[in-house]
Parts: sequence; structure tokens; C-alpha cells
Amino acid sequence: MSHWNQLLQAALVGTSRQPVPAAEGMPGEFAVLLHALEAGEAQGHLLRAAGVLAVGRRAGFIAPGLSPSDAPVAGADERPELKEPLLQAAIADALVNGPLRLQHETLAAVATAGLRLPHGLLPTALDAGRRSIELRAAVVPALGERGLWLAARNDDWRYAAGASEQADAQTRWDEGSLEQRRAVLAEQRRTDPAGARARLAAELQQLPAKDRATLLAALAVNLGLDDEALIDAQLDDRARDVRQAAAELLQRLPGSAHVQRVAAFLSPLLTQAGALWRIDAPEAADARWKDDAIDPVRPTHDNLGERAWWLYQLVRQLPLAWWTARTGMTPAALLDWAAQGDWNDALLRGWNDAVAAAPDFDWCDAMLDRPRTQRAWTGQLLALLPRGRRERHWLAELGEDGSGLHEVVGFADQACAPGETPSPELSARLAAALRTRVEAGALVNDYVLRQVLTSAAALLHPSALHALADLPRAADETPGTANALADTARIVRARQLFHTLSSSSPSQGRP
Amino acid sequence: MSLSTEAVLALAPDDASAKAAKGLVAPAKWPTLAFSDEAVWGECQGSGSKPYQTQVDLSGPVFRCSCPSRKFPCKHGLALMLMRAQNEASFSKGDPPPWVAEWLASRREKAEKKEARAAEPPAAPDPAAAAKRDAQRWKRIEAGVQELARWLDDQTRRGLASLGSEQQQAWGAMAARMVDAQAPGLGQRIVQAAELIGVGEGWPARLLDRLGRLQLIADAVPRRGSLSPATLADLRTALGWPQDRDALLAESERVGDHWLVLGQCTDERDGRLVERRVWLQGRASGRRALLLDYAHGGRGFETGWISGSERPAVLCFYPGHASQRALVAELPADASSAAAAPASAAPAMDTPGEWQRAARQIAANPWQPLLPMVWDGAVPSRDGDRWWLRLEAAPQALPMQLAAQEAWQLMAHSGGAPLRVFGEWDGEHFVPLTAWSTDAASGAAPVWTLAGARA
Repeated sequence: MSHWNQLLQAALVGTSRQPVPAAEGMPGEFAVLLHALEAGEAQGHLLRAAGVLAVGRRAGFIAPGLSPSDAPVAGADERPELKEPLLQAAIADALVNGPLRLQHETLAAVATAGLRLPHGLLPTALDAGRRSIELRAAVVPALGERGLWLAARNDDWRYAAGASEQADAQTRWDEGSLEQRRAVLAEQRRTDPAGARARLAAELQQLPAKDRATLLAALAVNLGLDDEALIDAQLDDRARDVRQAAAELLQRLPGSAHVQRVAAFLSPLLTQAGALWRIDAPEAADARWKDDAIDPVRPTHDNLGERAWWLYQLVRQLPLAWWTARTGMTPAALLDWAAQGDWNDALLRGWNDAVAAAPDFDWCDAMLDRPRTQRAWTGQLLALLPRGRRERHWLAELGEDGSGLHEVVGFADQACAPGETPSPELSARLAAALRTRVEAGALVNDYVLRQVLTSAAALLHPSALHALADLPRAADETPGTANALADTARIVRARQLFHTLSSSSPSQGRP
Repeated sequence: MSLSTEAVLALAPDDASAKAAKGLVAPAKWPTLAFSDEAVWGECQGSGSKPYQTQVDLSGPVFRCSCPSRKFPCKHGLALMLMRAQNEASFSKGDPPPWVAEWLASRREKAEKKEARAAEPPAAPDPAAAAKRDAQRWKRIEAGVQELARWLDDQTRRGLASLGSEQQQAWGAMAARMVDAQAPGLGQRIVQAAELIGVGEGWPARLLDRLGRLQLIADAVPRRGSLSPATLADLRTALGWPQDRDALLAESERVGDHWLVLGQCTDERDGRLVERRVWLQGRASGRRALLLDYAHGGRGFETGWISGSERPAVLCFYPGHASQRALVAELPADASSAAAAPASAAPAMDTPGEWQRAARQIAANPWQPLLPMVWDGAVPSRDGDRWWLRLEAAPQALPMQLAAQEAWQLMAHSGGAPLRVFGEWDGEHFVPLTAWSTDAASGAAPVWTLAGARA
């Protein structure tokens, strides 16, 4: 035992019980010094010896050994990093303060310009992705090799850890993150649907449920009847998400056996008496339903009754085209017909689900043309339409007097995926209408307008942003108004700055 | 003089003030905005009927505002300077109104008086009176140290194993006794030792280390007559005996050099007192120096240092063996333009050389709490849940003390490859303050600095 440890033991027990140990086996001058202490004053002897050793230990400190690191060194990046300090500061600010749409736009702008985030921003970006699942798809492409390396070192950032961006497809599939694997699959579906299906089929059963659902959904690219067998086999998967994903895919294949079976369940319930069509709900659950991912058990708190629940389950699984073909009615006429019958809630909910699973633009239009009180999921419906077909609904909602401003911004916010904007024309109209209201002092009493203003700043087409810049400020603003205006100004400034990045050449980041 | 937006925000006492100031950057909120060659002023509409009068003397800049805020500078002063930086056109040039002119005049008057006092020959020092004061202070310290020695012996007689959190208060009382005995340095060491009790694995060894070194200081006091002047100076520093600034500037060793700012950090001590440590290294002398400053109540520091930059200065070192602590005696005014002196990355020694230097430093003065170290080819890494700095000589590593967020930043810059890292070593943990890439040529800025260290 070293002399230090002997001293420590005596110090722990107390010198009243254990004498100060004599220095033995110590070399050279230290021993001389310690022996001299033994002959000296008794009070403080232990600490005096400890002090001498403490100083010696400190001067002769040898750093502990650590087993050699097996972590690889990060690969070199081929992509240049974003160097512009103003942009770096704006990205850092956006990543910390949001909103999500702005974060998404900045990260996408970096990747689109052929650049990557500077090293100092990587932890902030990875943290932002940890907090928001929606942001992850934008975070990963902006990371570069260094960011992927860093993500692999921290469990909180595992979502981004994967194979090198520069690796070939097979490596990214074998070693990549779920997001990378999904991208490999979707990419291969574009050129070689059968090969991609075989790739997935080989592994599907061994994957966790979340991976099964995500990767199965990637078959939506170039979906064909060749895929039916594999998808149909997933209708009795253990996980509800997987069954759901399979049913939604099959819905897009009107010739599939699944669709035929559901149609056979529903057909007897839709009957014609003279010119009038009539729908009934099933009288009892059918044991065969379970093979088609139809759930006979009504959730306890659902607002549909049991029979309505069964009807809804059937309706949601059937392609919408079946209804128009069977009845000869247009979508608008069918919606009118349903509204007059007893089972409107079940039909409407089922049709909404069906349109979300397999978008049908005519049905979307018809649903959106209903009076506001008779429709649901406006934002989601709009999201299904291509931009050109959305705008008609927005303009109708906005009204000549601009009274629907709040609603339109709200719906557009839901409808536009991050990275998407309303058209330049609509954006200009919305921005002008917002500016008019702010100039008229509406922010003082209109709490919702504050929220709408900041959403619009992040949402509208970049060409309309100038109308939201330099909004008038007043001396007697309340803190709420001041915050809304300051936030709007911050978002507008940042977006205008990011826009310079996407409109300049990819070589911008080089020194 | 006009400050940039960043420079103004750096003056903010805290983030909340900076944020509040940004919210006030709206010329519409300011019925008056004007400037002269000497000052900028404005009136800001607050919640009351009378607007707040905010003014800045540009020679400082020094802020003054009629608002009741205790923050200094307040959000109005910051907002005024932010607008001045971003929106100069909103200001009209004019003669200062009375509320500005009077303040400027009184400031000028005070400055003149101070100058006049400085010009007067210093009051003839009275060696007899000074010696008497010193003798009185030594007497108090000696009495305090006797009490400390008995108390320390008592602790070891009863055994450190019996210590627990309930002793914290008694140790705090002992620390206060040392402050009363005019030995605040001993008080601080007792407080730091008390914080170790029961914390983490192996705390008794850390505590024994502290108490042992404290015993050596206590032993030195009665023997002070036999100590060399330099050792006596080290002892006085360890006791927390304040150094007379004027005497120091007049008498002690001066070193003129181009000083590279190795790194810096700030620590908050008991409430609103902020301690700043700036570490320098002389280009020609190779000497390392510590500038220790304190700021009270959210006020900023007089001189700003930019980590990784170099500037010419004459430093005045405190007396003692291998003294690190220094005062700035002369700082050429235009040296703030870093371009005048091209910065160079910290020259590093090889690993054995750095340990040799540390050993010599400790041998010369065992009571210096922190040692500056530059490691070339150092790789930050995580092992289990701890952070390490792997040194060039492969299996060796220093335990690093760093907040997770900061450590991940450092990792991002390293990518598993070596960096040149500067930091402070307290005998147990290494706190990195600055990092350069290993091939950093002359003029290269650091890739990473500890946040909170204001550049």
C-alpha cells in the first residue's frame, strides 16, 4: 500500500484511534522530509505529511491510461460548408427559435445549394431534429459526413446516424438509418419496382413494426398489381400500423382481391328502390372481416354507434370510384345524398379516410365545395390537391372583402408541406390583406391575427415577403403586439436572407 | 465612435436585457433621437406619462437612463445604441439638451479632478505607518491560523469518515472566522473543501489533498520570518492578502511582448460578482500570464480580449515564484485592430514538455490553484458517460470537465481528429477553453471557444 493510501486510511479512521503511519519505502528527499516531520510537532502531523505528498503527487501527475479509441475519424466532406457568417447566424437563430417551417426552409436551402452545415451548428441542428420528428428528413441531408459521424456518437441523435452519404445504395440499405433505407427503397421503385419489392420482401418479417410500416408504404411509388401478393399478406400483420398501411396501398389497386372482397361486403347494403339509392349499416359483424383489416370492435369512446362503426370500416377501405360507378352519381350528388340519409357521419368519415389514402381530386373538390359547416379536414383535403387546384378554394374562402383571411392562412398552413408555399399571386393577396389590417391597428384587439401574421411570414411565397417587411410600429404597443411584430420581422428577414442562398450558384460557399 | 450591433449586444448584462432591447428597436417608440460628437440620447415612451430619458456618453461608452431598472446598462440604453448601429438616419444631429449637457459636464469635471489628483505628487508614503498596519494584520492572521490549525487537527483526530452534509454549516462558520482574521484566501479554501464532503466516489482522498495543502499554508505563517521575499509574496497571495495596485505597477517586474490570448472564461461567484480569467502567452518571452478581473452587478469588463488574437502590451507580474498573475501596465490604444498584429495559433510544446512545465510551476509555488496548458494533437472523446482529452502519447487521457452542450460542439469540430487545445488544469480535471486545428497557421482563428467567454 502506498504511503498516501496509508495516510488516507488513518485520516478516515481518525488519529485518535490510529497513529499516523511512518513513512517507509519512500525514496530520496521526500523520505528525508517526511522523517523530519515525524520528529516535529504532533498537532497537524497527518495533514502536514498529506500536504507534502499532495504537492508531490500533483507535480508528478501521470495522466490515466484510456483504452485506445475504436471510433473512426470522420470522413472528409466533398461538399463545401456554408461559410457566410450572416447566414450561419440566421440558421442558428432559426434552429433555436423556430418556427418549424422556417427551420425546414433553412436546412433545405443549405442542402439544395450543394452545401452542408458548418461544424459548429451540427449539435444545434441534431438537437432540433431530436425534438421534432417532422424536421428530421430536412436535418439529415444538411449534415454532411461530420454530422453523420457526430450523430453516431450520441444516443439522442441516433435517428440521424447511418451510413455515409457517399456510400452506394447497398451499403446505405444494409447499414443506414430507417430514413436512409426508405429513401433507397423509394429510389429503386422508380426504376426497378420488382427489384425493390424483392429487396423489401427478403427482410420484411425480421423488421420491427415501425420499420415494416414505413418501408411497406414506400411501395406506393410505381404501385402495380404485381405488388398485390406481398401487400395482401400484410393485412393480418400483428401491428395495426402495418395492417393500415397495407390496406391503404391495396385501395389504390381497384382490381385487387382485397378491394373485391370489401366491395362484396358492402354491395348488399347499398340498394336501389326506383330512382332512390338507400344505404344500410351491417346488422352484425362478419367473421371474415379480419382478413381484410376490418376491426369489428368499436373503440369505447368513438362517437359513432356500433353499426355506424362497422359501416365506416367498410367505406374507408373501398376506392371512391366504386361509388360513382355503382350509383352513376357525381361526387357532389353523392355528398348531397348522404347528407339526407341516416348514416351521413359514417359515410362522410369513411370517404374522408378513403380520399386521404388514395387521393381523388374530383372528390376533394366536391368535399371542399360543401358549406363550411358540412365539411371536415379542410386543411388535409387541400393538402391532397395539386397547388393549381387548391387556389380556387382559397380564393372562395378569402372572399372579396378578405373576411376569410384567418381561415385561409390557417388552411394553407396545414395544406402546404414544409418547403411548399401558396402561389405567388395568392401569397401577394394574403400579404397585402395582412398589411392593411396591421396598418389599421387591428393587432391591438385581434389576438388571432398575431398568430396568423407570424404563420404567414413563414408560409407565404418569398416574392410576397416584401409586403410583410417593415410593418409599422407604434410607441404604445402592448408586449403581445410587439412580440408578434418582432417575430414577423425576424422570420421575414431570415427568409429573405435564405432566399439569396437558393438563388445564387452552388459555389457560393467556397471561399 | 459607433458600435456594431454585436458590440452593443456584448455589453448587455444578460440575455433577457438583450432580448428586451431588441423589442425596443423601433424609432416610433422614441419621440426624440439625437446625437452630438460626444453623446447619443433619446426619449423612450414607457408605461408612465413621462418618457424615459436615455443617454450614452460615447467616450466610454457610459450609459445613463431615468428608468428604474437595476440592470446596467438597461434595455433602453442598449436599444438606443442598437438603433444607432442599425438605423443611423433616425437620429438628428443637435446640441445636447440640459439633461444631457449637465450630465456630460459633471462627468468631465470628475475626470478632470481625477487627472489632477493623479498629477499631484503621491502622498509621501509613511513607512512606519505601513509597517504598523502590516504587523497588525499579521497578528490577526496568526491568531486565526492558530485556531485553524487546532480545528484541522481536530478533524483528523475524529476521522474524515465521520463527516457528512451536517458539517457543512460548521465548516462555513470556520471559513467566516478566517475572513474575520483577514485571511480570506484560507476561508475560500475551506469553503471549497467543504463542498467535496460526500460528493462522488473517492471524496475522502480529494478532501485529504485539499486539507493537506491548507495545512502547509497554516504552517508557513508562524515561519514567515525565515521565508525569502518571493515565497513570502506567494504566502500572502495564498492568504488572500490584497495587492496594492499602485505599488505593484511601480515596483514589480515588467514584461513587454506581443501577447497571444490563449483563452478566457468567466465564473459567477456568490451572486452577482463575476470573475474573468484571461490567459496570455508572450510571443518572444514564452511566458504565460493570467489577468484576473472582477465585475460587479452585471457591469461589463473594461478591456475586451479576443481569444486567438495577439496584441502588444506591457504586463506587470505579481511578485512571487513562477508568478502567473499580472496586470496590464501599458496597452497601446489602437491595438484593438487585430490586423496590426497578426495572430498566431498557440505554440504547443510536446507532451512531456508541458508536464515538465507544470511540475516546475508546482515546485516553485504549490499554492497556485490553476495551471494553463496547451496540448497539441489532442482528441476530445467520450468514454462511457465521461469526457476525455486523449493526448498525443496514445493511451494517456485527461478527464475533461465540460457541459454536455459544449463538449458536443468540441466533438463536432474535432470529428475524431486531433486539435490543439488550450485549457486550465486544476490537478484533477482539465477545462478546455480554446481549440485550434493542429495545422492552424499564423493568423488562424480558433475553431472553438468555450461559450460564455466573451470574444
